[in-house]
Amino acid sequence: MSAPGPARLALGAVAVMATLAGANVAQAEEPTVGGSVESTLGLSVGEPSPFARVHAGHKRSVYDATIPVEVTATDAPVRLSLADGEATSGVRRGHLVRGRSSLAIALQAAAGRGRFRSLDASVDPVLEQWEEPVSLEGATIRLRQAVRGAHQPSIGDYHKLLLVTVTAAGP
Amino acid sequence: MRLHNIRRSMFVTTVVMLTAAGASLAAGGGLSISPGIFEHVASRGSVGSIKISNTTGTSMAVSVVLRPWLQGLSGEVSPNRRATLSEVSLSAGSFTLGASSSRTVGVSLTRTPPGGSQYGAIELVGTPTGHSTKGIKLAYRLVNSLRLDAPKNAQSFHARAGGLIEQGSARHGTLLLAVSNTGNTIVPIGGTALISGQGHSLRATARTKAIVPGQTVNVPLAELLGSLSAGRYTVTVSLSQGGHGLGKVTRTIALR
Repeated sequence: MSAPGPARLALGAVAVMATLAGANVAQAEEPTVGGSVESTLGLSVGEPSPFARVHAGHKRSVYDATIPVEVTATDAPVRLSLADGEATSGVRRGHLVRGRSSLAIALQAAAGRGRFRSLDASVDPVLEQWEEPVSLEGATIRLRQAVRGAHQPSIGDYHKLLLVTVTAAGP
Repeated sequence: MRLHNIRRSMFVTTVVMLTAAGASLAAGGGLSISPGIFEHVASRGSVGSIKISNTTGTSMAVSVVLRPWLQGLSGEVSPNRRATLSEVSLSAGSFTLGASSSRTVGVSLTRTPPGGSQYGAIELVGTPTGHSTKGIKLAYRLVNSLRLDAPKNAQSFHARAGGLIEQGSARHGTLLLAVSNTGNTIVPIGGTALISGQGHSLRATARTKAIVPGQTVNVPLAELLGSLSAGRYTVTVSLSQGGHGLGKVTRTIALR
């Protein structure tokens, strides 16, 4: 197995910073700071916050929750997306479910200040993208669930397995 | 003296940054896979291994599946969750990975792929055990690239050009060319374009795109930012792939 060329992350950045700083110093001794890291892809996921109602109405209520994540990838571009872990197609895809029933409106997701994207689309929405390798890059995924109707269901009774997805380096 | 201070402060800043980053990693833990890109010559038999590490404090149910890519016309790829790669096998497809532990999974090519190469996704899903069945349950999914390249002497660089596409308008848009990768490598395809007509002539360098063999992607040839007026144009494109010329194609288009 041959991994792609040496990937330099934080230590590489240190080496560049040290070199730049040293460039202004005539005949100064240059400390050699640098190193290679193994080609890798990593993800940390924090506990999701519980859904909190951010809009309450007789016809429609909106609940929000957040998921903190941290991404490390030596190979760019790097994409953060969210996928339904229970249904890859059909009417339950992207919808919170309870037994055989599911909420009428699909769960939505966004990252940072990005716009909310529905999770029932045929392609998993890309929430965040980095064009360079990242080391412990933090992001916050925001979830939004709207419910409607005169008798609005309690979303606490519904569930869904979500796949916090990081894709690196394209094909 | 001042430079020394600057360098010292940069060093201190860097150490603080690294320390902060280390603290974050230690606190969170997570799931990782190495290498980030799995690349090997497509030869039958063992082609190497991947290492999966769980640095969280919880054991995980792990599954590893090799899937073909789905590639959109813009070039973005996602693993086809309804299909698997039949020519490649893993020494273990699903297992429980304990807290703070890692496991190596062997990758083998069971038979030579039809085109001599095989490209796809390694999809790793880790589901922490012992979560409640109500509310949002989260699992980790890491998708990296599996590249089993044809041997150097069997690599083929070929592409077929389709039609021109105007995205937007001549005032503010992009001119694209549909390109199918009919070779057997993932080396990005790009080229140059000469756009002439309406008394104007414009040379442009196409943005390179990695196209999965057999797939078609719209390759951006030029940004249209009002330098060309609406009307009919002849576009001659010289496609190339990793230094290999793929020939010239000529198309006409009426820009709006």
